[in-house]
Amino acid sequence: MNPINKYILLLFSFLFFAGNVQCQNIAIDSLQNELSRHVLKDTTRVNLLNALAFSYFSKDMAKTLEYLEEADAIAEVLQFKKGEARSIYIRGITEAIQANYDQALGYYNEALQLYENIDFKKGIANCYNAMGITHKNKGELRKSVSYYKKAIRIEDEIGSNNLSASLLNLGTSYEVLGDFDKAISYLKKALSIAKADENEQRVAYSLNNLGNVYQGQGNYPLALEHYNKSLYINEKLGDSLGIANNLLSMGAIYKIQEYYDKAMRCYEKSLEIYKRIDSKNGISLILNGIGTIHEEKGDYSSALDNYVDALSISKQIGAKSSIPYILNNIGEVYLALKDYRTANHYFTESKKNGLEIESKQALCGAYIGLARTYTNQKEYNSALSNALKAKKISKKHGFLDYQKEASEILSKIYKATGNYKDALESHQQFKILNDSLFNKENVEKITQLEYEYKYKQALYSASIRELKLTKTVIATNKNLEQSQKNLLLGVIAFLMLALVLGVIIFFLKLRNEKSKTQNIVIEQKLLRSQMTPHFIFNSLSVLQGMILNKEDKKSVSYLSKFSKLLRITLENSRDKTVLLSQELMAIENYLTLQNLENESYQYTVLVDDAIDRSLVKIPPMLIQPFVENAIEHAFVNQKENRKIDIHLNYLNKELICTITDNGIGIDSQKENKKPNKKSLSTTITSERLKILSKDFNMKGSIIIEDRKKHNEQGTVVTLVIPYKIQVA
Amino acid sequence: MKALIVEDKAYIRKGLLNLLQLIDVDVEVIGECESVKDAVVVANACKPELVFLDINLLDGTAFDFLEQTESLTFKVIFITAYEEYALQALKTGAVDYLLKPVDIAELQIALQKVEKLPIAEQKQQIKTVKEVWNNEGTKLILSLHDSFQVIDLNELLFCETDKGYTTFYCSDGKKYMVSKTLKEFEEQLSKANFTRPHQSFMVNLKFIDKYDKSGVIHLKNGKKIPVSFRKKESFLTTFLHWNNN
Repeated sequence: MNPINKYILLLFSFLFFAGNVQCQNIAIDSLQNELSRHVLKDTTRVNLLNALAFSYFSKDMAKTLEYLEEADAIAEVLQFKKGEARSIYIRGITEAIQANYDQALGYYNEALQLYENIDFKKGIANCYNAMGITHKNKGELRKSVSYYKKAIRIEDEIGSNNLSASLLNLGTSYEVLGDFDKAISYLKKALSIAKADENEQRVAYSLNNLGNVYQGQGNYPLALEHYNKSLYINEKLGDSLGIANNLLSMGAIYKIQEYYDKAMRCYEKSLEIYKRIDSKNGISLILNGIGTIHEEKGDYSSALDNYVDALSISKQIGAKSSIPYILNNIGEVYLALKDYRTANHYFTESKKNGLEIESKQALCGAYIGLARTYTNQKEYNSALSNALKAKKISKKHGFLDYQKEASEILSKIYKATGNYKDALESHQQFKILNDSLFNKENVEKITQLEYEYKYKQALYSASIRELKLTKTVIATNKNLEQSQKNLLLGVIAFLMLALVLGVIIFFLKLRNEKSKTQNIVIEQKLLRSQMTPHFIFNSLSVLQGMILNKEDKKSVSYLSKFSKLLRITLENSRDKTVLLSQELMAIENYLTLQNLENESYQYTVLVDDAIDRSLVKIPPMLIQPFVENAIEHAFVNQKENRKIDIHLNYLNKELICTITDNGIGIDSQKENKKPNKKSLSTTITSERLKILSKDFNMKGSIIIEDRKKHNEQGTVVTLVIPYKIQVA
Repeated sequence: MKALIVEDKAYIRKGLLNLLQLIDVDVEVIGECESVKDAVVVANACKPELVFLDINLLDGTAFDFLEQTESLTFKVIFITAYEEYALQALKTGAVDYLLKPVDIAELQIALQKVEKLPIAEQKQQIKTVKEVWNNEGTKLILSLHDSFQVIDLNELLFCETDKGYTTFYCSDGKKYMVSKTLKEFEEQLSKANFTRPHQSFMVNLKFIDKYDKSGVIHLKNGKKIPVSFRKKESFLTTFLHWNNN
């Protein structure tokens, strides 16, 4: 059977840079929002910038550097040591990612010193952890273990949430050192702490690295199961680096399982990601992996090209841990090309590197390579010693793969040297190992695992779809609510509008009513003033007569009385109510005027003591017309003994005015008159009283009687006058 | 010219006497009266040629006096405190009147005018005035081209106005046209059961036979009067109200 080339670089075991949990949990978006709001150049902004820089280092290096620059500048101005140290620390990480390990270590040391100065334990632990990672990447595994242990001690002491990261890293280092038991123990510890902390990213990485260990142990199904679990979480988190690492590891397993196309697809995807995030180490590992596939397919020149590229990158970045594996792979190619010298050279080089970095797996690979080379060169002693070394190491560390390889080559060597018993034994061992590594059950399990992964993925995308759907439903609900709200608002607006319109209509109607009332009032005023022109012009005419008659004194007196009366009348007609005293003055003036003309009326104006004429207010020009009536019509052909009495009294809260004359009486007056010519003043007054009584909410009425009823001569007019008491 | 003054106020009589003395005119005041009763007696006794006559007297009106002195032939100058409708209508005619207080120039003009006037014509016109006066609200004086026509509003069917002329259609088939707009009659007609269903028409409610809902009034004599859209409602209100009473 063709020797399966397994000398691949299995892992990019993921190593954790201690981050700030808060920063990892808060979405980058919200951090950016926070930053855009927080423009003040203070420690908070430094922290925000550092947090953003840390969040970006696995996604966008340029942005990380951009944030760091600003953070560094502000921290320096503020003398904010902690912030400055963290900026330097993150800068170290960026260098480490680009495999500039010495620069990275320089930054870490600087940060460490700053942290030590301010005795910030967490920072110190972070620096130790980062230094451990860098040393591990440089292949200085023992150093890395000691740094990790320092970090773990501090983190355990302060109860840091980075403990799981350091444990993870330590476990990974032990894995490379071939100490799988310790590796598994630390990684499982890391996994359980990460689970307890609900730190999914670390759970994913713990799973990935455990997978790497299981792969090293040749337990491919278990390894694949862990990778799948890890990939599922990484995809959920959108962690590019994590996904790339998973794909790299899975590619390796597929390759071992001879699913080359699948393996290639994994590698290609992974390479794309590594290139994007500029991870040289990752690129190197992938190129190596792709090389192994070409090699399996017999395309040795392509394989060699890839290996050489991978080697040069690894050398350039000083990734000592990768170099022996790549060297082994190159050796294998030359071995297949039967260029045993060159193969020997590479394997020897690998052995040297492997010993230096104590990479047991690489070392096994190198020993087996050398054993094969020597076997082909028929130098069986050298071959045997190398093969036995490989077997010893692989057995000790439980590298099933290498044990199988070692057994196979041993069987060949023994066979070639005629030691058939040992050859058979070795071959039997090889068979057992090969079967256990590559049995049917495993194949089925792998297939099942694939389905599980695909199912999970489908489930996940379904849950995403469900989430989207839920969102849509919520949005629709909101829209519905909004439209309901709009409807409600519309109804409210409509009601308001209706109300406003109603109010407007009401007020218009009210105004209309008012103007109607006003019209009546105006009409009343007109009627009141219309009662006088006859009187005015007659009076003026009388005055003219007096003047022409040369009665100067009398005419002057008449004129002044007339003026007074006119003035009071005009003033009173303006007001709705006038003082009783004023109204009475007008009446007296009127009577005086009449007496100036012919000195023939005896009149009395009597007001009950109960009535205060300077407080009671009555509508103007209610009494006067009846006095005028009496003078104009009552005394026809009655030259002597003309009496007019005006009497005001207060009865049952009613103001009653009687105008009594001793003339011919109303009945006789009517006889003289035309039947259709009604008494204007009576009609007007009764109309006025109707409105006024409504207005004052008080009784108002008029009765005109002939005094014949009481066996007396003349007319009596009884007015019930609505009034108001003036409040001083 | 022998004159009689009939006026209820002594000072006004004195004033008029004084005024007559001030102007150079051949008027001799032979008597003064303050009531209808006195005046009738004096007029019969003295046979005046001219009477200064106040419209409103204590015991009656000027027309009561005129009625009782119909057999006598004298000319009349009315004296009034304000312009009565009946007089206003005849202002351009043979009847003149003076407004109180009397203006001396107006008095002169009135005297000159009345001197030349044929007595019969004045009598006729005074009759018209009297008729209108006594039936205020039911009679209307129309100043025609050559005469004053009194029409009874109770016999007036409707009137129609067109280009400043108004035509009155009476129930006896006669129609009169005056050079006045309908507006000048509107107030007086409104008081007497008339309504204005259209800008150009005023109709006597009494003579409406039916109202066609298409907006046409049918009069009892068959004449049709349009109702304008804008006045439809107010017309209907008036019409129905009138018929319900």
